[in-house]
Amino acid sequence: MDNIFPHQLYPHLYLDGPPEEEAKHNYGGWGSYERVRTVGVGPYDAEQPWARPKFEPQHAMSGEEWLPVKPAVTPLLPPYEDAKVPSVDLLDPMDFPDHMQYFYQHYFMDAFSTMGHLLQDDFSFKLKRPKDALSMRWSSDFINGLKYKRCEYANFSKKIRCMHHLLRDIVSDVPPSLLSSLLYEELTTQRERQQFSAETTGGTLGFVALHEDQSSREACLIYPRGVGMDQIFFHRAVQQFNDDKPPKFVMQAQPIAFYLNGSIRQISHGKMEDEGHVAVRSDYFCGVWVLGNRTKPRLVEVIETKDPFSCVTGSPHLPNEFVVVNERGAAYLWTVRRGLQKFREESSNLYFNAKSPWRWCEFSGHPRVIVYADRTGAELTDIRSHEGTHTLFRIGKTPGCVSGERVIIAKYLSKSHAHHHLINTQFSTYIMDERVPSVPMLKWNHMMESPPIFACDLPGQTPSQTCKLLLGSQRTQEIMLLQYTGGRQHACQTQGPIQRLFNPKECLSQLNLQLPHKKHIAQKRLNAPVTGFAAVQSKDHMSVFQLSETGDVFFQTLKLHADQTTTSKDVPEQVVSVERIVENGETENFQIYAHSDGQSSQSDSETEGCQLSETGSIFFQTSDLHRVQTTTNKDIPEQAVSVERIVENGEHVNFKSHANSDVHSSQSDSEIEGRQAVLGHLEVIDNVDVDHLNALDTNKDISKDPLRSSIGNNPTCSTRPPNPSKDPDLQAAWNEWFKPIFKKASAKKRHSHFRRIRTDDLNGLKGKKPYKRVEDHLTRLRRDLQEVMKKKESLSHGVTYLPHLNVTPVPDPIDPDHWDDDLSQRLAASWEGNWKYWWEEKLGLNQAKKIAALRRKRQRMKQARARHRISLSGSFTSSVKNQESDFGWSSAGSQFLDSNDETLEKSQSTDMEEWMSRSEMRKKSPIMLRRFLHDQSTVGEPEPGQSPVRSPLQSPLRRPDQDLLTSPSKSQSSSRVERLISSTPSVAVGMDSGPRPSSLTSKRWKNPNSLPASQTSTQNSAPVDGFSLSQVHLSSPTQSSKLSLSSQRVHQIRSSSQASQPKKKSRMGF
Amino acid sequence: MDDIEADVFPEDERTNWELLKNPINLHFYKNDKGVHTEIFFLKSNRKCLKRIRDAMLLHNWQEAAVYYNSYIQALEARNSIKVHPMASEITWRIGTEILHHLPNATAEDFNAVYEQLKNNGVKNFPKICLEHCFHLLLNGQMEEAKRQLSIGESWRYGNFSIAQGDTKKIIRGYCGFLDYLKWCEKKSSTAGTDEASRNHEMHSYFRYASVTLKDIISQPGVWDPFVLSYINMLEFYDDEDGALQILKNYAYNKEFPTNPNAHVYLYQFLKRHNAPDAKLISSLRILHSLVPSHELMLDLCSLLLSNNHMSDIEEALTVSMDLLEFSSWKCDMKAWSCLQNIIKLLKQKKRKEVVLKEWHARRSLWFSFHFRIPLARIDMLENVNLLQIKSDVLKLLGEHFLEYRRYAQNLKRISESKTDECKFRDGMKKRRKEKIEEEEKKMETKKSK
Repeated sequence: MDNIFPHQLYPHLYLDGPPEEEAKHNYGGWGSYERVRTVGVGPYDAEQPWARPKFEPQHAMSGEEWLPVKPAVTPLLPPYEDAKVPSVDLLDPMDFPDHMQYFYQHYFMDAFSTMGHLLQDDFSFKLKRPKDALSMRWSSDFINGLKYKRCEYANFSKKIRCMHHLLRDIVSDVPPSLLSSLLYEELTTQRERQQFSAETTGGTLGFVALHEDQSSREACLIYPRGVGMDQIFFHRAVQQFNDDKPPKFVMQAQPIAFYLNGSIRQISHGKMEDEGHVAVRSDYFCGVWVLGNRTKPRLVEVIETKDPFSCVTGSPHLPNEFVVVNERGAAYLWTVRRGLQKFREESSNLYFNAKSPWRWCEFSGHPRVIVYADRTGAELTDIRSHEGTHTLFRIGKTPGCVSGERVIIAKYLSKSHAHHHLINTQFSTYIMDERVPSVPMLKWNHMMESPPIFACDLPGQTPSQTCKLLLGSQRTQEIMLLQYTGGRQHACQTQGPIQRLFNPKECLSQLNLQLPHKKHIAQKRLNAPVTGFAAVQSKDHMSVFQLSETGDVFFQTLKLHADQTTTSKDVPEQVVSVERIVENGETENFQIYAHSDGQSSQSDSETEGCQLSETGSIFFQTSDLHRVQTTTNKDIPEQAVSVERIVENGEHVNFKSHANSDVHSSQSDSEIEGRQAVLGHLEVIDNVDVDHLNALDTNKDISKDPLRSSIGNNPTCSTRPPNPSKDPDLQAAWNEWFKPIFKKASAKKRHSHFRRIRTDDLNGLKGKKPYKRVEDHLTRLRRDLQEVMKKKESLSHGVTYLPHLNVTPVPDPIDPDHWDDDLSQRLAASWEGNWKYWWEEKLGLNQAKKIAALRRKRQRMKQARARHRISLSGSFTSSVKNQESDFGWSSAGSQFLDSNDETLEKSQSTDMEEWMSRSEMRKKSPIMLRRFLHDQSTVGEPEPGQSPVRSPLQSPLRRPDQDLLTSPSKSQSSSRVERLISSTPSVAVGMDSGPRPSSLTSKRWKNPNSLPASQTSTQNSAPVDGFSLSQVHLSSPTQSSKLSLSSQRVHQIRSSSQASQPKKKSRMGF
Repeated sequence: MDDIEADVFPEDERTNWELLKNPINLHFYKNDKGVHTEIFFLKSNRKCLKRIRDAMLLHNWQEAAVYYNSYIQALEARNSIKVHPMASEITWRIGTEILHHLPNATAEDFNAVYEQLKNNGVKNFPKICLEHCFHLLLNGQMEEAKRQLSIGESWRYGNFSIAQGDTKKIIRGYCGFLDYLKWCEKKSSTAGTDEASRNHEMHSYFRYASVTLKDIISQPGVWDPFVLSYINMLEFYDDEDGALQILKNYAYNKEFPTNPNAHVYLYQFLKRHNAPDAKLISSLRILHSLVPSHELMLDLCSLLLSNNHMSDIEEALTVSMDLLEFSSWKCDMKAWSCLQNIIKLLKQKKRKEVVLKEWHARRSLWFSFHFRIPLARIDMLENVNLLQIKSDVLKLLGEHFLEYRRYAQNLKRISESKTDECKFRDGMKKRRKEKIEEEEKKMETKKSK
């Protein structure tokens, strides 16, 4: 009833203009209802009692549930051994030098022959050279060495280099610069083609049903093989149905092959009746074969073109009609044996310039109206009249395209609906109704990673079933399953979310561990791009075939998951069928493998039956098959051991699984069940150890126990059977499949890229005996070590048989004073942790401090002396200080000062003289200064330290913890103040004392000059001046305790200012 | 975000953590304290998103839910306010989809997700409002849906709201549509009560609905439900001219896409209001020029035949022959009998040359398209009457395609004499019938579910 048009369509905006939106993300296929509309409420039944309207979304959330029968794809045919396995990685255009090198080495006749002939007379490689020819015998060694990978520097030859410089431009037939640029271009385009090649649009796998019977269906699988994909194979397959079991495919032993004159790009079959036509497209040829149930396939007609064909499509209406389009845009209706009829030619793209020669044609609901498509859209063209064209689809705002979107493939969904067309872009899938042009009936975001260039439709087998659409991509091997209904009485609705089917790439994660090199080979083979797929549905099962570029055909079967009741029957049966195959598999041919359980022995059907119900009950009560079975099984420990072994050394994997299957055949059924359960466990370990191949493995991990147990309580998930885990049937099939590939790979001679050096002589040098003794020693040592470790003791050297250790004497201690050069001193200082200090000294940054310290010391000494003299006043002042801290200082202070004036000056002057006299020395080596100061302190300090008078001066106001901190600074500041006061009268008196401050400041200003400029900033120097000022102010009332107070404060400030200094330094890059 | 987490996973925190910790080796959770670098965050987040995607594409919803849980947690860990609008859209889409497939998701969960994500990425506000409204409508909460729509409609956010203009239009359209549904409800509920009060409430809804619906209908697009509802209201208020105007605009405005339904509605409207045949024919003629395969073409044929003008009968012949060229009509008995009648009529009127002229233009196509031997074989098995009528038409057209007609003749003989064959055929029919019945039963059970 395709002639009925839906009474109401979903609302849709119609907008003119090119798309504006950018492609944002690849998740658009989820979480949206798109539109809703009411159903059941007719607009005119106003007088009827009001019923709440029911709504129906355009994107319905649940559809049919199709579950894979096996956890991965299964190989259908044995591998094609001579296949050229494409590299997994994309070509890098920057690899052109390697390609050039290869060309020069292996095709030297092409590369150099012309110039070689010309230069023949002047150069000779022969022993007897003509008179005027230059001998090149010296270069033969170099040329021989080119075969190997070698170090360029070790094999550097000056002569060769000279020759190269002399001849490189002329010696090759194609100038290297030109060749390299051409190669680069070529590699770039090759890379693009690797990513997406439009010529294989449509796919090269055909599955044509020939004859239908009650229990089987005969079909013909058509696929290309060969290095250049230039052989076409017609392979008969019988699909056998057995009640609820997945259909089995029995492949005929000998396929019929034809050799073609070019690689096959597309296979398209037309309507099948008693006989049907299959068109095969290669770049410049199109051929049509006739297929029949009773006849052998035979070639009928071939057409040739100057411009490459981009499409051939068989008519769904008439058996012998095809449309072909070439890349120039000319489209022909090809009636086999009656010739071509050109009905359209477009020199440019339809709606805008997409710069693409790709064209496509499809039939439509009318046998004389044909869809003409290119990257920009699709038009319906009437063959009979040239005016009758109108838009079917157009990239634009109306279908909600995004900018950059292009049509990848168009397909007439003749089986699903007579008026529906599928338009695929790289982002979305549209269902178009040719009666409503431009407005899509449905739109999906198909969420595929690479553009879908293959499409296949499976109609719903009954009106209530959904129509299925399968989209396939090339490089990423994706196959997406989309479901929709409607288009007749009701508007189209998508049913359920998009589902991705398995791809060959992922299957390794479901198989046992392979050795790394084998895994690599397998991976490379399985990663080959897909060049076509086909799907066939029969009752509740859907089989999908995938053909890879290496000519391998894989298939997977999905089962419609309807109810809990049906699945409880189905799943255990699946398990049973697995066993049967294992039993028969050893003896039967691989090709018959897939179907072997079809005719399998009837004898054990009874036992199977009862066991079936058993397992079924276990399975569905707990929904945790593996756990239950492992707990009930007896031989788990043994199995666990074997698993471990497998993981440890992967070599035995193949062998092991075979052994397993052998055991299977000899054991009873119940034990086999157990084995399967354990195999499930093996999978877990495998996953952890091996497969980083794709993201799926961890997914599987997750779907293991913890999640299952959490799911256990919710109802719907327990109805859905868990993902089928690894089954031995699959493993056996794959092992069989891998065998020839691995065999071939191992037979291949390994080409060594390195020059071999004979090392036999080196082996002869070593005597056997000493070697053995050493070994003996070592084993002994090892044993000893283990024992010692067990006892947690230590092993001393003396116990072992190791050679004696040389006792190295401890070197003499080094006295840093012997090394008085700058560097050694600095190193010595930094060793002691005084590096910073050393530099400060070296640069004179702490000169002022030091001078102050010196003065303080002097003063202290003097004070001590003074106290010795006038002990009474000393004791008095100390008592005064305690009682009245703020006033009444002056008299005592002045007195005190007056009395000391002379001695102070005197001692100071002598000290400073000494200091000044050492100035040159000071400049040269600060360490001398330090030593000097050190001497001074050691000489001077004991005196005040020993004097009892000193303690009253310190004790009352000082906290014990301050002692360490402030003692130098306090003494310093106090002495300094003293000096300032004392210096005021002495300015006129002594020339010695006068210039001192100035010299000090000049020193401070001079030093920065030796440093980077930033230290001269006033910021840094200002606080220093400030301190001195404040000190002057404070110092006017002269009393020692007051001084000590002020000095404390000063010290705090100074220390803070000093703290900022290191930062500066570090910034200056010291 | 906390709400969502709770929604997706009603189990307590601890079990969630266990789920997360054991199977998933996401680096993100190894270090519990401290902030990770931006790149690290991005990497793990991307990985997580990929896992979600893979799980969802393989329909492992539970697994996807676990990943999603950690995904939004990760997003939250990084200041979710700054999340890119694209990321928020992804979160929304994935989240709702997973929720749809979780068995224990409740209506509150959905509301929480929609509300949270609406405000998360401001850009998608109207879109999510619309989806939320749809969700509520599908669950029968019309009032709440209406509220969501008006929230979405009144949303303004600088330039974003301008960019979302198309969504706004759709929202307005649905607003009007819901008002119309309210109007219908009022109309039927107050059917018995007195005129004045009924008019008052209903009329306000009519005003709301008509303003928005008229507005949206004037925009180019496919507005089947909206047009129908607006016409229904106008017809109720006896504004037939207005309704006709609307329908004509909807069908014939050049800016609108060709929509067969627009013509169908116009034709039905005209038919309801007893328009003259000429008008009906002219409206269907236009439909024929656009969609020659439409089912109303049979109506057109009968209308043309009733006129009894010679030119009309000739036209009916073309129409019916055009119709039969479509693969969807190929096996339709009505169309074939219509053609048979027309040819018979023309023969009666001694205008056989017209038939032959038309026939010769299509002869080659029809022979391969309709009168192939394999087709006859199939028809013999599946639809005997069709084979009979096709053979009769062939005879009327004066073709002596004996091989084809022999099938039909054989069939006649067989049906008369041999009962075995009939039994076989009856068996086939029976089986087919059973199949259909089974299907119907299945559908019913599904519906009842």
